[in-house]
Amino acid sequence: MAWLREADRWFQAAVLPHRAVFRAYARRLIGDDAEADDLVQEAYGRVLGCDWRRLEAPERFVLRVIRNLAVERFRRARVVSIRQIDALDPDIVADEAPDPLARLETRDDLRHVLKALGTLPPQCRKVLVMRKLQGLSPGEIAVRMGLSVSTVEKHLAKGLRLLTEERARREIPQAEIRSREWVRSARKVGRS
Amino acid sequence: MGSKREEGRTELIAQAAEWLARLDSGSADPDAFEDWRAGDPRRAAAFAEVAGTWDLLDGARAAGATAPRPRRELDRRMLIAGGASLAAGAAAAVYLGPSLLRPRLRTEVGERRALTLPDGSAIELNTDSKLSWRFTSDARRVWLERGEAAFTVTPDAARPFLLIAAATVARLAAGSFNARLREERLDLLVLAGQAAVTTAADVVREVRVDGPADARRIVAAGPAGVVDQPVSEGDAQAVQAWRRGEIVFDGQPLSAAIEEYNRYLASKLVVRDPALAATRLGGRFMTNDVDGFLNALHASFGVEVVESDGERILTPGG
Repeated sequence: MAWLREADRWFQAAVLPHRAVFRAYARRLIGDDAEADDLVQEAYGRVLGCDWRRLEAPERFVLRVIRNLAVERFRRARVVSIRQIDALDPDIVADEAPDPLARLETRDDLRHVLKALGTLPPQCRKVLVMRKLQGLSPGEIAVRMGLSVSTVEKHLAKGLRLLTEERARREIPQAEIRSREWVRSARKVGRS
Repeated sequence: MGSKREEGRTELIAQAAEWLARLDSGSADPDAFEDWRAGDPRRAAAFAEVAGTWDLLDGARAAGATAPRPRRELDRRMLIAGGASLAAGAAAAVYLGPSLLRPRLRTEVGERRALTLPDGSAIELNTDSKLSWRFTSDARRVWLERGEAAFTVTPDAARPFLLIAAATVARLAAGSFNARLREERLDLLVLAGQAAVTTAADVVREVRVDGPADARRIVAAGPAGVVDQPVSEGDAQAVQAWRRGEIVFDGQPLSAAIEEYNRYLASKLVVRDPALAATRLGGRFMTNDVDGFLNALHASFGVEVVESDGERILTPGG
C-alpha cells in the first residue's frame, strides 16, 4: 500500500500482532474497556512516535508504556484497587520473556476477518467483497450498484472500521492466562 | 491521555477508515491526508491498523501461486446409508399435475425420494429432480424431466419400460440404471441389464451388462448423438454415491466438484479464483454436510469462505 511509511509497516509487523496481549493487560489495569482501548491507542502513538528502529523488544516496550500511562492515570484518580497494584509491578512485565504464542497468527487472522465479513450489513459487505475479493474499482462498484462513488466510499469505510474493530476484539486465549501469570508472579515476588 | 480533549480509539479508527476509502477511490487530497496523519501519532497507528485490515483482505484474493498441492484423499468417512426413511415421504410427493394427467415425483434441492411404481419397479430421485410416468397396456413410460434418478426395473415382457429424456428414448430391460439429465444430454449408466437408446435423429445404440464380471457402461445421448463407453467399478460407485447421501470426488478440479456439490445446496458455493478453481481434489463427503466439505478444503488447501448474498465464495486463503 502506497500510503504506508516504513514506520507504519514496522508497526504492523512488530507491534500489532501482539494486540491481544496489550488489550488484555490494559483491561486488567483499567476497569473500563473503552478507556483501556484508548490507553492502548495512546501507547501505539508513543511507540510510533519514538525512535522505533532502536527498540529490541517492541512488545515489551509497549507493555511498559501501557503500564506507565496507567500509573499516570492512577495518580490522577487517587483510588487504585489492590488488584491493579499487583498488576502494575514492573517486574511482572520486565521479567516476562516475550511469548511467541502471544502473537496472533496471520493465517487465523484471515480466517477471522473473512468470518467477520459475513456478518457485516449487506450493502457494506457487498461493496467490500466487490472491491477486495473481486477487485472491482470503486467506480465500477458505484455503477453496478447504482450508487454514487462517495456512497461506495462510505460503505467501504464502514466495513473497514467494523472489521478492524472485530480484529482488535480477537483474543489469544493465552493472553488472558499470561496476564494472570503476571499477577501471580508479582505476588510471589512480594512475599519472598 | 493528555489533558486536552482527544479523539478516542473508536473515533480514530473510524477516521482512518474514511481516509483509506477516500484515498482508494482517489477522492482524497493526499496533502490533507498527510496533515491529518502527522497531527497525532495515534492517528498514524490507527491508519496502519486499518490498512492492515485492507491488506489482509487482499490476502483472501491472493494469486494461486501459493495454492498448496492437491491431495488425492481429503477425507475417508465411511457413512451409513439411510435408505429406509426415504420411501416414507414419497407418497406425499406424488401428485397429479394440473394439465398433464401424469403422476409425478419431485424433489427439492437437497432432498432425495424413493418410490415403487405400480409394476414393482423402484425409482429413487436425487436432489432437485422431477419425473412423471404413465403406464398403459402396451408400455411403461417414465419421463425424467429434470435431475437424476436411479431405476430398478422389473421384467414385464408385455410392456417395455421406456425412459424418455433429452429427446431420447431409452428402452430398459430388467436391471438397474442411473439416469442423469444434463442440459440437453442424458447420461445413462447401465449397472446391470440392457438398454437400447434411440435419439431423435434415430440413432440407436444397444448396451448390455449381463453379469457382474461385465464392465458397467455409460451412454451419453442427446441431439449431438450417442456415445457409449465402459466405466470402472469405482466410477460406477461414484455415480451411485448419491443414493447413500454421499458425494465422491476423484481428482476433479474444484470448479467441477463445486458444481456437483451445488446441486445439493440452496446456498451455492462460488469459486472465482482460476488457480483455486483448477485445484484437483479427491474424497468422500456427505451431500447434507457441506460444512464438513468446507472444513476439509480449509484443512487441506487453506480455502476460506466468505458468505455474501446467499452465496458462499471460496477464496485461496493466506
